[in-house]
Amino acid sequence: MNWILLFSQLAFAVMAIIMFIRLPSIVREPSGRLAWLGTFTGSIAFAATGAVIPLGLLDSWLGGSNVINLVQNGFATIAFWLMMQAAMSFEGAGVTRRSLWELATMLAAMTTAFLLIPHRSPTAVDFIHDFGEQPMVWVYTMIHMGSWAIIMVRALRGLRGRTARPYLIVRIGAASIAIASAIKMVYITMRVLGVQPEAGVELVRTVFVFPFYGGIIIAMAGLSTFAIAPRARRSTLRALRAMLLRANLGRGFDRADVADAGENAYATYRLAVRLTDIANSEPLTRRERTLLRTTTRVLDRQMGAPKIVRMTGVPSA
Amino acid sequence: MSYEPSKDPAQVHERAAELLTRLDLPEHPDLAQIVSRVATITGKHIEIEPLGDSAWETITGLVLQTPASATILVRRSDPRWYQFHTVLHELSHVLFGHTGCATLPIQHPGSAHVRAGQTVLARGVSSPDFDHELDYTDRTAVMEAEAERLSQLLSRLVLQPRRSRDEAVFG
Repeated sequence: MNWILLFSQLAFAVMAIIMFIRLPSIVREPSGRLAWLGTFTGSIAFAATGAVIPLGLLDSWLGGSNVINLVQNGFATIAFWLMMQAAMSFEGAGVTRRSLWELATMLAAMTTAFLLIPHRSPTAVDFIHDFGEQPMVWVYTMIHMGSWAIIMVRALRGLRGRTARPYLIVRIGAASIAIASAIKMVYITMRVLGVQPEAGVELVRTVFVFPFYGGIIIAMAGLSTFAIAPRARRSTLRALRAMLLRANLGRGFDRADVADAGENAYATYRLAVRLTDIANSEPLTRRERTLLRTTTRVLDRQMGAPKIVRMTGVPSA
Repeated sequence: MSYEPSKDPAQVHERAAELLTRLDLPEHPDLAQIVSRVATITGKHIEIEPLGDSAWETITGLVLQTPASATILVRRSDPRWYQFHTVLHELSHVLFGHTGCATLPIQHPGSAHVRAGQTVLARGVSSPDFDHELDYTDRTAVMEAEAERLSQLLSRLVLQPRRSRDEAVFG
């Protein structure tokens, strides 16, 4: 079984789903567009591995000289760069002209190196392995793997100070991709230098696969949490809001009282305050008490109300 | 400053919005920033103290005021978000300039904290934000509605999903 192809198909499917479910939110929220574009270009990179259309057919459309490998790596570079820019946006850094030039330079350098490879045919599933004895393949590999390692290190720097738990997973994934890129650079250097024994060199190649694809899986899993969690939360809060509203309506409450509350989280909070007020003066049913306990757990976890501690405020000039 | 209760729901909303503007808070303030701004605007030394338990029965929070200070007592057995709402409600009373005159039942545990010269406002559990049912000739009920309205506006600034920024970028 071709595990790498299977993984690519899975990754493509997951990315396509994330792209689809995030589409409405990026229309509303401009700050989500970089990461969405990263997912989009990442899915193209995986599609270019033959995950959707057979690799041989794709490459034949491009002349049958492994240009598809350049397409894969080019789109992967753009995807990683967009994700890095999204991570760096937390520090208020927008996409600068300088960073765009850096991306353009990476792409131009890898394209130039690729086009200067003397022998690039026939189509190969693992182009770097099959043609790795040529010095220009070494240059091409060093450029794109070096670019990925730099991008991952920058992405890790951009995530400094982000405390949400999923970032631990994202950091492990990004670090794994950086390490894998370094391993691949060691491998191609060994190949071009003709290091022996060959089995040892091939072992290094095999070692690359796990941190690279594993790193992508891990980072994607971590980032997916941010796409899935708000949707799951909205569903929970919508249900709680409806139940709390029902409980309040029987007690002199009017729908209009919460009409201006807007989103479900805040409306749930207001309705929960109201029902807790009521609980202070009259007994609630068992079901309502359970509802309030559940709401308390959800609000404490999701709304981040500050802990009330002894506090002093002094008038300032 | 003499206080006149609002005469209708529109005035409650308008006054609460005006006070919020006057607070001049950052986009996502924390509670300490709100407390500090209320202290500065009112010129009062403000203390917040989580106290009490279910023995407080129908009173979820108190504000004890003198011309120079306001002490807010909150029932600490309540859920965190409910205590938070109570603090904002009491701070709103201070901002509105509600001095209050209510006295607590002598057996109420909160009455032990009342000192000479202090007025008391207690957040009871009547329906302070039921605009459509409010009797606008009832001064106490209007004060509760005003404080509740402002506390709703304030809570909206503070209560954000924990990962809202991360979800905006990656979600």
